[in-house]
Amino acid sequence: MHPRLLVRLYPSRWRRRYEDEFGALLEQESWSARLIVDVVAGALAARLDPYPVSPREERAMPPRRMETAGAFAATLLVLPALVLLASAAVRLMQPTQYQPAHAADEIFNWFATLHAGPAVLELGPILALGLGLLVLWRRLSSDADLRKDMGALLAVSGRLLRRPALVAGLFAVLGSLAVLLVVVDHAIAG
Amino acid sequence: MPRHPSERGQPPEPGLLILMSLAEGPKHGYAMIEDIAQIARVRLGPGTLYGALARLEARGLIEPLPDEERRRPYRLTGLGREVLGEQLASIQQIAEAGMRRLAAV
Repeated sequence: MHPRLLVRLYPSRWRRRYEDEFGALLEQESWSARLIVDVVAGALAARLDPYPVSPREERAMPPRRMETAGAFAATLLVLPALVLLASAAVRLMQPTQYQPAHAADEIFNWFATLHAGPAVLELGPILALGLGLLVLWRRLSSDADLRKDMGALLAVSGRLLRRPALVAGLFAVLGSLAVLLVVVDHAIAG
Repeated sequence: MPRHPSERGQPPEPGLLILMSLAEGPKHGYAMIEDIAQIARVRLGPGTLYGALARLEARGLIEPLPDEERRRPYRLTGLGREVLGEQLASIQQIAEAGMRRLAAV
């Protein structure tokens, strides 16, 4: 692996500003464990404490407050439907005198008393879908780095899906872990 | 065993070293690393250097110049020169007080 590849560990905003010159500097440095540790630590620091933005850059950046508010509003709109569907699924999995089916049953019955089914299951998700798509479109259309990252993510996902053995192995491992967790939970709860 | 007295203590803050290096004139990253290695006997890694450069630039203490074949030089701003002067004066004051006490022992 070339140290230059380590630049990918930095946040996209940082890369947009420093990638070229930082990459040129890395090409002048000789490969060593110390160099890798230094660059990885720098990337981690840039992610934990995103690189400070100068007032000039701040002015040049489009305001994101509306998009952030829209994304959170979309999440809140779809959340009740997800809770309702999850509780409906859980109460079907075991008798309702046992936990967590009992709690799920209580939640489901509470929703039923509200008589808000159409609003929760139809109107909320439709509004959330529209709002979510709008936010994604605005963010992706204004951020070239984000588009590049999304493209890379889709390409990696596509490559992984073309390896059936890997997908089957991953499914087996995650499925087994989930089943074992449920078994351990039942064993502890008696 | 440390070979130089400065190796016994903690190296100074990377930001201060960068400001000191740029006090001589504009430099790009590699030139700063080499210069700092000479003046302070500390070789900053590229990750450390650029972490400090980003902070200094955001605070308005340094500013980038047009790049030269992907290598971008930086220079001190007026504010950077002022802050560097204050920091060095403060270090000098502390060092002098420490040396006076050592001499009195």
